[in-house]
Amino acid sequence: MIEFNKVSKIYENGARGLCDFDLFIDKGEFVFVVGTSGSGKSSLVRLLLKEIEPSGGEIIVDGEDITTIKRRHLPYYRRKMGVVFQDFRLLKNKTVFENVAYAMQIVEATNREIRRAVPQVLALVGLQKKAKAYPNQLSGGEQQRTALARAIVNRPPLLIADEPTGNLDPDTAWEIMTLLEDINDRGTTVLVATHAHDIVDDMQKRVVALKNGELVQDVGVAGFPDLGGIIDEA
Amino acid sequence: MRLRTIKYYIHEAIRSVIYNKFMSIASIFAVASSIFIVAIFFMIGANVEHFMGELEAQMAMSVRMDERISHRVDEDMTAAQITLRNQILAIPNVAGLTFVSREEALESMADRIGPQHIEGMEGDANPLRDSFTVELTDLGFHDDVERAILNLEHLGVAEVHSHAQFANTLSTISSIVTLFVILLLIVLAGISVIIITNTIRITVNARKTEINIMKYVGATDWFVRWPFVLEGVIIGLLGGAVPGFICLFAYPRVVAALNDILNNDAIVFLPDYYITMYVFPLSLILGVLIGLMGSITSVKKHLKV
Repeated sequence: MIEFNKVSKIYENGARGLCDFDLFIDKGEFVFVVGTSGSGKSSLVRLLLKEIEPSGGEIIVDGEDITTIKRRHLPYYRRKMGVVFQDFRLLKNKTVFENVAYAMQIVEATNREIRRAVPQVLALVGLQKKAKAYPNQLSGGEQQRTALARAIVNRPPLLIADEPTGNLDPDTAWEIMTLLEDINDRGTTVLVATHAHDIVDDMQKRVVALKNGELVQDVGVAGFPDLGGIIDEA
Repeated sequence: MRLRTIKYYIHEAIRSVIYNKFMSIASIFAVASSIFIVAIFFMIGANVEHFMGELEAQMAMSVRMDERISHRVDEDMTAAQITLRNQILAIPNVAGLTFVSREEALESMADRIGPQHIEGMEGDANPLRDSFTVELTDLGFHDDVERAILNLEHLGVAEVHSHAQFANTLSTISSIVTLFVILLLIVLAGISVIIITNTIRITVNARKTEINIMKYVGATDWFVRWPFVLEGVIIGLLGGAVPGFICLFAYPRVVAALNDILNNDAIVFLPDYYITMYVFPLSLILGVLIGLMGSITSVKKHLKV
């Protein structure tokens, strides 16, 4: 599903994002990417979103080398993935229903398809009663669940979550992680960049640890790694 | 593009205008003010042009014939006079030509200076000569046409009488006014675009997060751009309609008031339908163009995400 081959990212100010980074994530996997601030987590996510270009190497997503994708084709690439951010990034002048429907409108789904799919996905994230509410009328957890609903409404094969629990209390954070696990169980590949130690500790999923832009540990589902202070305490 | 997508764009644009109502009103006001100033100067310029045109029509030159061809035996032109008429009509920039017989010229003189002053000049004693009144397409060509007519001396041209200096002055004034109005239109239209671009840019800046989100969700540039473009068009259209309607309402009243103040028939203003036919549509078109340019340039820089 995702393949990083000798990927480097050096920013214009000389800062190192990633260095000779190799990673393979198979379809249907659930992977945590962990590391301190400046470890390269954000660079990895931004490279996957094609928000920035790598300085070297190749990134293959769903069989396609995304470093060669032209700007005009970028929207179609991004439609293959759902994205969830720490700050939710909801359209504040749209209701919960409309925020989720927006992702379908851009792929020119019919009104009938939208009316069918949006309530289903809102029910999945437990927001069916908040469909008419605006983001500023929601709690942090509800906003993140709306963002999650928007990310999965088009059934993308890949879901990227960048610090999805960063602005949430522990209980709500767990609700979101449970939802991500449910989504993963339905076959979606899920990649979560986080520094939430307790969640990574308890979820028992594959963990990819970064330090100074380099892969320092890649531990499978069999057990939680001894990261030796690589990740912060949440 | 599907019909429902177009509907979606229109719906989003209208919704955005309403949602950002204070900024929309500020933008409409900015466009309306600029276009109103442009419209005022446009109407002043058009009226000056119109007045100059009227004057030009009155500034015809008179071509007097010499003794050889001037004395006719009956009312019709002689063969020599017809030859001269055709030659004058063939000169570039001659718009038309009227034959004035010496009898008509004498009657005209009697009207101007009084019949008592022409006593004894009737019939064979008439000292005047037959002439042609020549109208030009543009007073700017006065000197060229006069020179060409004087070259027809061998066909019976005695002299060319005209208000050459006045004609040249009028032509110069007309050109200056036209140039001034064109320059003013360009400058004001430019200022309007800058104002509306900045106003819409503020709106778009306030919504750059929204644009970023749209891009991350996979919206194409045009999917993001269209509602903003239509929003700009709506604002521009409303901004153009306001001065358009003000002109429609105010112009006939201003002209009536000026006619009362000036109290003469010398200055003929452009008719009211000119506003309906030109100024109103021009205001709308200008508004739409300003809105389009403003919104397209404002959104552009936020699309590179």
